[in-house]
Amino acid sequence: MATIVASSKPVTVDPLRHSAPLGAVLAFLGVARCMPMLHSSQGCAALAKVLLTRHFRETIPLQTSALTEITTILGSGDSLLAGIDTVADRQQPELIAVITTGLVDASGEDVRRTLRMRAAGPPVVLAAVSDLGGGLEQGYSAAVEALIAELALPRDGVAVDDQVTLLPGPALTPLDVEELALTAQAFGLRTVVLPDSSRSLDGHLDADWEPLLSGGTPLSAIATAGRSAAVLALGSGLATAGRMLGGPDAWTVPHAVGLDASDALVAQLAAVAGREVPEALRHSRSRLTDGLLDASGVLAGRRVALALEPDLLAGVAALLTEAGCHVVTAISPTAADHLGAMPCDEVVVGDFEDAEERARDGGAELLVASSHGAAAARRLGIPLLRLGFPVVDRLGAQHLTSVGYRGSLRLLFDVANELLAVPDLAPNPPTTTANRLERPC
Amino acid sequence: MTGQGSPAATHMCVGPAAGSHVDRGGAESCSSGESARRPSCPLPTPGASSGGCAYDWSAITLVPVADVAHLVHGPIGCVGNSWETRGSLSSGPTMNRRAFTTAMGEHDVIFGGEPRLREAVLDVGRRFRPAAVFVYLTCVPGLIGDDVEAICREAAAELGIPVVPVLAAGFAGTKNAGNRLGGSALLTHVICTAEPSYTTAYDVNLIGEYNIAGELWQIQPLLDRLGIRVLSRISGDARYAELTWAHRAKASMVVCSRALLSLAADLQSQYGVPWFEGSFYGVRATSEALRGFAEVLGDPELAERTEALVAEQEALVAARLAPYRQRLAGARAVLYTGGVKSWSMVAALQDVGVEVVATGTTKSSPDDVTRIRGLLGADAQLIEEANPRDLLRIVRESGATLLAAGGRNMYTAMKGRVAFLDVNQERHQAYAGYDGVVALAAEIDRILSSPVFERVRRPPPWAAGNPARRPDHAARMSTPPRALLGLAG
Repeated sequence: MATIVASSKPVTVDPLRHSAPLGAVLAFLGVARCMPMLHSSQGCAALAKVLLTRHFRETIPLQTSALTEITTILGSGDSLLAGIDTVADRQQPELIAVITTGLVDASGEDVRRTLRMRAAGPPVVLAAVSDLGGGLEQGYSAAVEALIAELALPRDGVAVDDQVTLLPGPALTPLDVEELALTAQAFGLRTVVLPDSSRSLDGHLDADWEPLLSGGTPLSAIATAGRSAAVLALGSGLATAGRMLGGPDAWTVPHAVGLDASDALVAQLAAVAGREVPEALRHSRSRLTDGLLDASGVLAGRRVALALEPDLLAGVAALLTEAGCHVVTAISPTAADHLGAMPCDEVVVGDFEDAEERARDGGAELLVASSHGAAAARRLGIPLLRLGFPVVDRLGAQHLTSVGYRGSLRLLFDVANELLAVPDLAPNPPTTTANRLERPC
Repeated sequence: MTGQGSPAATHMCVGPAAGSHVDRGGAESCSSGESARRPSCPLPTPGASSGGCAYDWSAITLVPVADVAHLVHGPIGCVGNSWETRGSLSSGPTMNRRAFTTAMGEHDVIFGGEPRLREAVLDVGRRFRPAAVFVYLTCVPGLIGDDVEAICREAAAELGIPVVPVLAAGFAGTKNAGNRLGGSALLTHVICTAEPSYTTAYDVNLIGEYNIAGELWQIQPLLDRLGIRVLSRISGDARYAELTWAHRAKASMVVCSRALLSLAADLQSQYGVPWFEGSFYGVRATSEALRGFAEVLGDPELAERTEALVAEQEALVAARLAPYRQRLAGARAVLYTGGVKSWSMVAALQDVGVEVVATGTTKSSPDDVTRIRGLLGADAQLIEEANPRDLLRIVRESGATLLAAGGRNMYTAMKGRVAFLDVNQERHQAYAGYDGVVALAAEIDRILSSPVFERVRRPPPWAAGNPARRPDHAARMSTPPRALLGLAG
């Protein structure tokens, strides 16, 4: 059990936290033919777009209402409506997702009212978020809730028996999302995945360049998301979204990383499907248990520092603790209730400066964090295992899986290999006379 | 282009003259911080905007100052989305690589962000002991009216180090406004606040040189050989102190930066430092730039030394480029970048033997366009504003095999199966000076030699319509010969 401590500095140094609007954009990029639009100054969109582009190595569709000083003060609504019309005309999206920012928040505009004044056009959803509070997770959750509120059919209708709705959180990479869906499908279940980045942000080559991403959850699938036999959410922030679709029976966990959490996911799916666990999954589990044994010598007693988004933080801590590591420090950008259950003494809500300081104090041998952890790891003289967002100085960020038996095994090997790559600290050869080679006379 | 002005040697160090703000008319006037307030200036189009904001570009202009703590007063998104993206290098301190922010919250909007900012500046000043703190204004504190200048004044007095307000809120404009407001912060608060320990007749400023991937270090040895001393680097690899005495330079070179022309012009009007505009991309441009110093400094002996160096270096570089020019013969490129680079990079690409078939003119001035026409001829294809689809169409239609653009267009090129060269500030290769042009040639050669672009265009052997696939073979396989099945005739 861990105590959650807030860093008490008056300034953020090397931020770990991302803005909530960025999280919302991330969620909307997993919806088919959706164009996210920040209601913001144009820089907000440009900077977010560059960061997402560098991480995913994809062209990222993202627009902005391009507010200026004047339009912010005299009424940003006109810019928003003009922006929506332009995007509807140029990119022909099936959905436009409006994401508010701190600027709009501070100006006090009633965005809902503005959107009601809109004439015809594609449907618009509004994620009313702000970079004045919360982080990636809060923005992501707000986006998913907005999608459900606007586009899902009411729950009280004909249910689809063998359908399960999966809500992957922001900690899941596109290939994690795919792994989650495949795991459910292994039980013969049909899946609705919301949002589904597995074919939109996974990095694949289409026949031609399109302004919108291919893949993503079709709007028709969102409509039936509340008519499933069960709703499973992997992400603590998705509890509300889960309840909106599945009522009190919705199953929400912060993560499915490590043996225990993967077992829990598989057990849940088995219960939903009313079937035995298929052989392929049993075999995957046996690979993970074998991997844990193989890595036990490398990882037992090793001291690791983690600076990750809350769900991933808890997941990685769970896996590495199962493998025998000690989590000497865990830094989260935002607070979350489930962090209190983490297997370490304290979880600090802080930044990379906090991570560096506490990793040094704790004698950490490895830092697990995004690419932004590189400078801290260099100063600490320890390796950095890149995970989370953003990973911009390595290829294949989409493939950094951690979910389920297979994802956990991949991550486990990555951690162990990172530590194996550190040269052993052998004792210095003694310099006693007896040990010196005799010189010829 | 050479600015006129009296030599600075006798100039007294006085604060910036009141009312020195000069409207230079034309395209320049819209690059001022007031652009958004002027009905005649183009505004970003809602729903069809790209490019950063004034805050972003003020930071690009100033964050290279290596021993300064750069503190962003705004919500987390402003610095959270942008730190560690630039390739500007430092030969010493790395204070500028840290990202400091007040990470404003709801509370600060309701009660004002000033108390948090004050505490943040003091904390950064005390714990990190930077040479100075630069405080960047963003939209939200700009909207609620935080008095950043007052906080900076008070904090500077308390800390005993300079605390400089950079008043370029994102919604004040775009690239040019941000560059200009960044330059204006230096002029108002930094330049002419100290004197160099000594001066020489060959002291110059480099303005708009950001030491991307170490480009300054490709230029500096050339200047060393001419006996030219870079007094103030604005701002690649700069230290705070050297910015304070930029007014003592005998000349400024504006390196590939339209918007910082205003800083050079102000240095001239206020302190009599003459300036010229140039580029270090390409052989011809580098030689021109070196000659520019001699011309502006008005020193015939320096001009002679310069000619000797240019002759020597051009001969050397011609020999080094020869094999690349041969290999790159026939290579065609589309260049899509903004402003000054739209012509300076054209020249560099031509110098290594690449034919530039089209170039972007976004953010370019009429003067830039004239230069492009000079380099490419009157029929040159100019790309005013292109979305990725247009860009790929232009590449296809022009038969180009290389797209040279900023990092945000890298994956446009990849999706179009076209080789890509990063020419903007996020890149990791240095292309300045004579050495840089050889590096550029080597890099283009390396990229174009990749077999990938051709390979990924080929359909797999099992695809329908692939000539490699024999349909009759498939048909045979699906209905095995009756004899094989042991059936009669």
